[in-house]
Amino acid sequence: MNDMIDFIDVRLFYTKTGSAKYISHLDVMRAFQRALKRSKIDFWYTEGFHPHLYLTFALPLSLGYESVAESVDFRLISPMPYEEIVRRINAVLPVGFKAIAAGKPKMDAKKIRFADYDIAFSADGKDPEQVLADWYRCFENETVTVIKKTKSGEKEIDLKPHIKLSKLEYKEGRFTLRARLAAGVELNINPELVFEAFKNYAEYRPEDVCVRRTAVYNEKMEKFR
Amino acid sequence: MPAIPENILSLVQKPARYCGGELNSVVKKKEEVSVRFAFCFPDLYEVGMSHLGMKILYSLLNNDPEVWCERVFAPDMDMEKILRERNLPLFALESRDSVGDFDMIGFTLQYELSYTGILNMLDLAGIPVRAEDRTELKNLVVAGGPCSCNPEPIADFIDLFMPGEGEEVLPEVVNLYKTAKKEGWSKKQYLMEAAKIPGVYVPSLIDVIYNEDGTVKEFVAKETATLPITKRIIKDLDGVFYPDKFVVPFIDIVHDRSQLELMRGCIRGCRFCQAGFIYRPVREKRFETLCKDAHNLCDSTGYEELSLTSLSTSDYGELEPLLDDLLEWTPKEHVNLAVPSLRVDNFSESLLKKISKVRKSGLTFAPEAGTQRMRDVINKNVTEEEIMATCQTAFEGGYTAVKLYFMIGLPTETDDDVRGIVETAQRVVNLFYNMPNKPKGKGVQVTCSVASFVPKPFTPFQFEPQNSREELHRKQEVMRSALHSRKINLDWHDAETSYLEAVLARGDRKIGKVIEAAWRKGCNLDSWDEHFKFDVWMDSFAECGVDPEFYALRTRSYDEVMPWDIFDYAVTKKFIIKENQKAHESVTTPNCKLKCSGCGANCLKGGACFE
Repeated sequence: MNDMIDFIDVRLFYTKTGSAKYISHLDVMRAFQRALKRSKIDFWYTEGFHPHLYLTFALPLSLGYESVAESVDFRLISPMPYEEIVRRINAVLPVGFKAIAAGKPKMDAKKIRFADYDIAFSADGKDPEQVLADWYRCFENETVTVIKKTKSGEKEIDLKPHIKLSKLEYKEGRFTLRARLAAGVELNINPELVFEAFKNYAEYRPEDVCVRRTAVYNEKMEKFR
Repeated sequence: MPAIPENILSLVQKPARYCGGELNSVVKKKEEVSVRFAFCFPDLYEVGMSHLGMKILYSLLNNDPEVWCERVFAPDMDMEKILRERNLPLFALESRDSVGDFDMIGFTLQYELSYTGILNMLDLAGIPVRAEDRTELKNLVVAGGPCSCNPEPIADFIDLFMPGEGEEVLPEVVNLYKTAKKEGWSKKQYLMEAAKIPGVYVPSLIDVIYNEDGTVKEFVAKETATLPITKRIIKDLDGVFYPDKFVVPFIDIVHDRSQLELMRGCIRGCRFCQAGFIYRPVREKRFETLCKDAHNLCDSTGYEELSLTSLSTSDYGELEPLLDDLLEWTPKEHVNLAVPSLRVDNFSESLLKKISKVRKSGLTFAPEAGTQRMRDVINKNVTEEEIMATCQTAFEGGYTAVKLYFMIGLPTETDDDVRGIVETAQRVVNLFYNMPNKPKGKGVQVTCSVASFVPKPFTPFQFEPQNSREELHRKQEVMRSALHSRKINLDWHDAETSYLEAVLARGDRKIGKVIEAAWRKGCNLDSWDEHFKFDVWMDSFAECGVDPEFYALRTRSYDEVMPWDIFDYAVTKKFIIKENQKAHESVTTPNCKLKCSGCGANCLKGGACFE
């Protein structure tokens, strides 16, 4: 193919909050396909047998989690100011999704290495001091092993080198903490594994868990942009 | 505060079924409306959200600023378990409020096997299932849709039915409710007034008297009710409301696309087909209206597919100009066109060319029966030559998979007719291999989907017995032993499901207690094979002292009073009887465009169906 394909790569950052957290990644992709189509922006479509609007998401988010650091890439066939793109897309997104910025992609999604999550949970009927102590002890161990399910089966991994927990607090019945976890194509640690590890250690499970992804980084701890 | 804590959504499969917030869903302030209407579909989200009638009526009701219509679907087993364990009510998607908070609760009756689902949904909402146990005006339970042409089996549970098309009568019923609520009427007073609205059936105002043999002797209209009740239709489809928006679900549903309604009714008059009779008279939309509808829907939904919807799309008078227009802009806007319900006899080459531009999956045709004699009996006016010619055109157009729909258990059917199904499929296979220019290196696959015939009210076969389950199983064996090719896939539905459907379709009020008994024993979502409990149903019939064979397997005389004779569905009984007689003589009736056969339906239109 010698034809020069003229298109403009755009990365859109958006948030996914409220009941939108119950929309699975696959369904989010479909919702974006349809929303972008409604925006009447001139998008680039793939040129295969079934042309579709080209969309690629940097880092899939698990069902049930909120995020203020999501991004999706697409291509335009005619230029449009970034603010205009954000405005037009916000006019067509379903409730719970909000575009916050758009720009030229600066990093390759393959370079993503870490993500931050704000986590909140309860532990009904447990002494808060005990719960905090359990958390510290669980993750201060030399190794924190859990079973990670992958496409090729289950394998045991040590979470210790891949997680960093901070800001563990208890306030008005809720525990909150920040977790920095390995993320990206090479190794992705789902916050669920942190709860799994905790349950293995403390023999009870955090309840009413709320997870919100707050930032995504490369290996130099630069924010994904 | 909504009735439902959000965190239960993280405990179920496919939470997006229950979380609402879909594009184009309507959220209002409940303090600002005078009537809250819960539109209930007694099946799972994926099925209910595919239904066009619900989309139309949802938008129509919400166009009224005084009304807030929300959607409710049957919860799947996992969600139901959580609701029951935690003592939480069934809730509407938009507000997550309990269905018990709603003024009016409307059910759409799309198929008989959804009846237990209605009881289950009411019960989950904490509402008594029997109409007589609901004494307040609030939680008025209404119903409409095709199965309301014989609503008698569920007459114990529903306060008011609206047979026929809903766009005009439903707002009338809702507006009357506004007055009733404002003036503090009792439920009884409301129902007495509602019964005066043309096309409204209030079962509590009609008594049914039975003969000793269990057949209906007569109906007695009480107080404000009058008989017969004439179904409502929309005279002018170009003038009637059609939504410019569909709610766009997040999860994949059965029909996930924009739907364009071309017409109502069907000119064909196939004698087994209930839709072909209950939706008469035939009315088409002008293609200019459709072009406008199509643009609106594509723009507001972002759907990547647009489907033309009708009982027989190739009979739509302006199909070619419509396709020309749609094919002009849909490719540019990256919208695929889907054209289901094409008939085998008028699938022209130019039409195929147009359609094959946009769509290349399998093709489906419905010869319905395997021999010409049988097709004449059912008035499916297609010939063997037409079937073969159509398949030939399809094969030449590059198709290698064909799906054929048939029925067994039709009136007058012999084993030759049954074997004829497999033989027809075999001739389609042979046709492919005898083609000089057949696609190289590709085999052909002919799938025969064989349903068991269910006689339905308001069709010429309403008098006919269904084949017994033993007979249907035997006929399935006849087909199996006639099958000699691996290029043919035979599949059929359970005879048991069709049997229950036959009982419910032509049932009377005595069936109500059986439905309730079956539901209390755990029957729900009966149209799903994995949930269908045939034995429990049969136990429930026995327990209630009701013989299902009386409804499914009995021949009715022409002068028997049918449970659905409370209704005038516009097609005269004289015509239905004449069609039944012609079926037994293997005489066909021409389609409505060739010649008007005088079914009587045009009286609702006030003139001839076709100029």
